[in-house]
Amino acid sequence: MEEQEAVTLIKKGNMMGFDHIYKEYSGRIYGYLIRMVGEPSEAEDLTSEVFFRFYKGIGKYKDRGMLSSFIYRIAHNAAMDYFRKSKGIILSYDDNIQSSKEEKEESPYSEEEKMMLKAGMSRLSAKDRELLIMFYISGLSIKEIAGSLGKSVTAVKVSLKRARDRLKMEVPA
Amino acid sequence: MKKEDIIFTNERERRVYLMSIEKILNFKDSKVKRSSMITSIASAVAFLSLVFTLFFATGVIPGRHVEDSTQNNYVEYDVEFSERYAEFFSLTESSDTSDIYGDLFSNGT
Repeated sequence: MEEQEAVTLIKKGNMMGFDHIYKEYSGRIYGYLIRMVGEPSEAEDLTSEVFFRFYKGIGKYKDRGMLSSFIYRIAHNAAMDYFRKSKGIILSYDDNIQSSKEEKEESPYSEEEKMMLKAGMSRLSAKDRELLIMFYISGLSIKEIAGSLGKSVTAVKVSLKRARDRLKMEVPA
Repeated sequence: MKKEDIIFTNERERRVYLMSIEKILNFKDSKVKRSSMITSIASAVAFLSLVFTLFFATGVIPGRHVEDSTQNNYVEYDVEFSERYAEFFSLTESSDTSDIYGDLFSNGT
């Protein structure tokens, strides 16, 4: 089933379309949120909230837009709402997510490097961390990130470069 | 199209899915309740307006009589004006001015 077909089904009230989108994005959205908030139970709640808001707001989604940007925008807003409710307390970056066997085998980094990267990510601001997660972990394109954050492509490129530079400063070579 | 059961890769995925579905069902339920509440309020308002219309029409509740004072004033003014007008003309028509002047001059001289 194509994404567009799934969206049309949801708009018609058919939950099969919702199931398809959930299967497609739930893992990525959970991955993004747990890296943002750091707490698995909070990330689960927020993921369910994202899919609920997605269902509720599907009428606003324009067919020509990118669905990934639309869903990530909802996830970004949910994360920001969470930070506001927790009075600006940003939990530490947590990368203890169950990764697949293939991912573990393919990873070119040692455990020590991963720990250093994790510590560096924790020290970054939520905005920097979000950009790096979206680009390097969720695998979104610059255009998709721009769409989800409501920024221009150029602004995202600049912010991403700055976030990368700040991470380099946090992680000793 | 046949509904297929969603296959979850792990327990967390299933848990989050059920949480999302629960929220969606609650939302749908509240939407239905809200629309039925709006419908019942609208029908109650329509019923009451019909009842009051009938009461006014049958005189059970007397309607307030509004006097058109402007119209009356206009009529009164019109009557008064025409009376004075008529009086003026009758005076001018009936009176003999030559006598008045004649008397005046005759008295003075």
